Amino acid sequence: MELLSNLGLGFSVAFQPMNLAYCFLGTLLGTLIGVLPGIGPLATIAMLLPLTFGLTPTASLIMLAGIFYGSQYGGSTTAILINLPGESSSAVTTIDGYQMARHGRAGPALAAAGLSSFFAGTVATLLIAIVATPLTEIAISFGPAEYFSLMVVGLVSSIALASGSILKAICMICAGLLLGLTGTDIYTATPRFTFGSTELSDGLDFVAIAVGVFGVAEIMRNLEGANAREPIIAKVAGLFPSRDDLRRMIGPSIRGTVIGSLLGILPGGGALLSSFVAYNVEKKVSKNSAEFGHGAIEGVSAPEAANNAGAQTSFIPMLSLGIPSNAVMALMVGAMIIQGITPGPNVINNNPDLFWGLIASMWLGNAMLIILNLPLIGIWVSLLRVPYTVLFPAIMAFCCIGVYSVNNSAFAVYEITAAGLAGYILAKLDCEMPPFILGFILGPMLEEHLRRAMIISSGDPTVFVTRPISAVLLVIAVIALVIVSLPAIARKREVVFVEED
Amino acid sequence: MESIAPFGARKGRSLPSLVRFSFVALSLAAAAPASAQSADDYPNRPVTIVVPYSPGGATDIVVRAAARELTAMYNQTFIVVNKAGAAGQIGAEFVSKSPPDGYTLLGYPENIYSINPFVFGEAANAVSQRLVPVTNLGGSPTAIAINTTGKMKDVKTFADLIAFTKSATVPVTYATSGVTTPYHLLAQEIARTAQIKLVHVPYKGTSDALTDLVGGRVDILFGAPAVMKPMSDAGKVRMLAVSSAERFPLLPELPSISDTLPNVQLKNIDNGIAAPLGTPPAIIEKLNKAANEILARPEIKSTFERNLLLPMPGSVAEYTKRVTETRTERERLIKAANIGQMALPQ
Amino acid sequence: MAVNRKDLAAGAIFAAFGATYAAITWRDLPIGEALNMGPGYFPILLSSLMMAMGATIAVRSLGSAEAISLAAMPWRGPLVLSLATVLFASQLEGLGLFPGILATALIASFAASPFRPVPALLASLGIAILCTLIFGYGIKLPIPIIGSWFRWG
Repeated sequence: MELLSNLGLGFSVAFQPMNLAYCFLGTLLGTLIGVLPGIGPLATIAMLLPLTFGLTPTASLIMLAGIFYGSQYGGSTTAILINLPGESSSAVTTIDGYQMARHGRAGPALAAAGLSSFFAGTVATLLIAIVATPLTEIAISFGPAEYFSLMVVGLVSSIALASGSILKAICMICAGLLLGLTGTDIYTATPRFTFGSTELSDGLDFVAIAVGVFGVAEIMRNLEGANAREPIIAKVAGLFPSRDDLRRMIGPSIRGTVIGSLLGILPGGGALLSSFVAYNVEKKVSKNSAEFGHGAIEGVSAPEAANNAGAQTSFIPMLSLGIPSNAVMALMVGAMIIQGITPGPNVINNNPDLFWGLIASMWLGNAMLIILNLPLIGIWVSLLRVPYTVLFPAIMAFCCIGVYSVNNSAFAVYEITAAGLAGYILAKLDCEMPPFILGFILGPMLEEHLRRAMIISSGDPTVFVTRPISAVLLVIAVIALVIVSLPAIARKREVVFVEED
Repeated sequence: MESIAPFGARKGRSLPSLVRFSFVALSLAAAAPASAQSADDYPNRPVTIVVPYSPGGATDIVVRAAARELTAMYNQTFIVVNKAGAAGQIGAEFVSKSPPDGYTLLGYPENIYSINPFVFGEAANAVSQRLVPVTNLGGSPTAIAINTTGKMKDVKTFADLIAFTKSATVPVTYATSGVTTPYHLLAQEIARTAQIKLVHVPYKGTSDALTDLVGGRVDILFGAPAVMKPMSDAGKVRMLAVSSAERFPLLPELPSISDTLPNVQLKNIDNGIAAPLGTPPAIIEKLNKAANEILARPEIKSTFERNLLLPMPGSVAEYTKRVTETRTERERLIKAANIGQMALPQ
Repeated sequence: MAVNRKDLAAGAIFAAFGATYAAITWRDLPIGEALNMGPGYFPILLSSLMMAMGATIAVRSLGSAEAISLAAMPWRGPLVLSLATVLFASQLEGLGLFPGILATALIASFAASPFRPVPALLASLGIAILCTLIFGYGIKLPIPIIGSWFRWG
């Protein structure tokens, strides 16, 4: 069994005391920065990079990787507790996670996020070990046409994110798509919707917008009325999931893991989609779909499993091809080069100890994260007992400083102001934010891949149906559209809509 | 680390003196000593180097490596701050307006002086005029790579590529990391000189473009050699030539494109350090000497060379001349390619 | 027949947003055509769709089954919180990290009614100390802890 000997080599490397220590340090740092809004893995890794020069290449990569997937864990904590997604991948977790917290079930929600992530991390790590090399073929076979069709699937299913009016959801998606286009058009270098501002020439900052429309708008709503409303209505009941909760988490975790693992491999932004797609799939297949949006534990498990699986498998194109799937991976490539390792198809042969050691450390890191995070749940939940008059200025301060630090720019903090006000007004008009955020993420990618596919095909639109993977994805999109618009489901949506008021 | 003065130092706003007085106790601990303008005791407080791009790029790599050595050399922190945006203009503009005291420097990618002034209008030009070159650090030429499996599997040399494109019945596409990048300018120049038709497919970065090259969806890639090298080593793409007039010492096996197309070349893409206009020449000289000393160190050399960046030692005068020459060359290419003012609106 | 004022307002906002973006696109950006898209192609498509959808929402709201009035919009919270973020963004570099966060947290505290000065001040001090420790000394953000306003000279 070559796999076993490889894994044996990996674990013997990962269990070396120094590597173990750096793995722990990385995951701990990752959890902490994940909790702070704005400070993301990218900035942290950039700052720590010089410190890793003195380490062995394996230790430094183990630590940097730990920061990356650790931050995925941490990001969901604030999403659940205070409706503040620290990372784009945890935006979906706010939908049901925050509702659970409001119903006094913050503990089970955090536990569900942690356990599902651990499950997903374990499976995805194993997946990397077994099929990393063949999977890269999938990544290579995804071109602009395939990505465009994949984005269409995401867009269609995003309508299902809304629990209210479909028309309003479509308008919110359009608004997100339009705002997402802000910045310089990559095909002509024409500035679009920048209103003469140099700062806008690279577009609106995702973290600032998400912090505004989710976090700040929510504070504004909580402060309505004569007395600052305590946002946590129900008493915190039980820190850990009940047996029933655990049973309900199994299916969503498995499906989320599968979706996240597959989408994570794609370097062109697939990982971003994974949590949205997993949530929507769960909403369709779950027996409790009426509960979604009101604190369904499935709505926490599935996207958390998906984003953690995606975070793990996004290492595949980086390790096996040297192609970074996101900005963090690009920095990891830089770290490898600095350490004298040329990332690319030859790493697995030239540096097997590094390759397998890193993979084994990912599993160890996931185990450390769950051990680290389960006891922390009690502390996080007790944070909710802090009087709201103290909590909300603290959240505001953290949001401002965190968003400022993303690019050392005050401009992004103004974006929070605008996004917070707009989010508040739209929420008062029963317009929902998750479709907007998905539109915002998808907009630029959708257009980029559409136009690139058309340039490459010399303006022949049939590429989308003649390329097999693209055609299959478009068929999936059509099926999803039919399901979304089925009358029975539309009726159920109306019921949910009425219940909410 | 309590205080980094350059941020506020230029803002001489006054508060009522009572308020100021009441904060004296606090500020005494944190405030930086008034900066002496002499080069002898420079640097006597932390120096900030602004990198106008995100972490991980060539400019970031060379500046961070240099900052680490400078910190050790002077026993004074050289902090690297990334201020990305608008093709480097946001960070460059920030530094151009900082006090010219040597405590705020700019990681200086070549497009700030050689491309942006000609495509982003007068404001970008004004920014480049308010910056002075301090030292070059490292640079690399542009490399040209093709897919090895598709329709171009028989193309072995750059001359083959030109011949193939001339006789091709379907359009030949090339990928770059964006419109108005040096890579785009080079491709346009080649197409003009060789009288061939090439279709441009812009990407957000060379790595993105590389995926489509390996997947056979685009035919040619123009970009930094460091990005293509691993795929080339694995035999998935074939590197044909480099853009510099001479062979690139770190990739000696690749010929120059000017062997095939005489007079067509693109100067290396340099990454150096600049300072705000008005910075005392003594400080600039001191930094330049320090940088030259650092560039000779084996660990810096190997960090650069692993990233296929050639260390570029030289005096301030030499770097300034190089900046001017590169600027002249790119200006000519931009005019020839008829790339109008793209204009970041100002 | 009754008017759903929430939908009416939402529809009007969407239609106006779409119209604004369509106008900007039309004025500034080449549209191109389906087979050769310009930078304005995608925006004009989306903004037109948004205008149409917004108008539909607004028209349908006029014939709603039940009358829904606009919920009260208390402006104190949103305005005060916006002021706090704007102050932070515009004054951080002059104030420095510690005073900047202290001021932001204190102003944000005004959003709560009733506003209790002493607990708010204490809480803001605590927040400022915590943030300074984490971001100033821990993460070492390149912002002075005490800004240039509080210095001589």
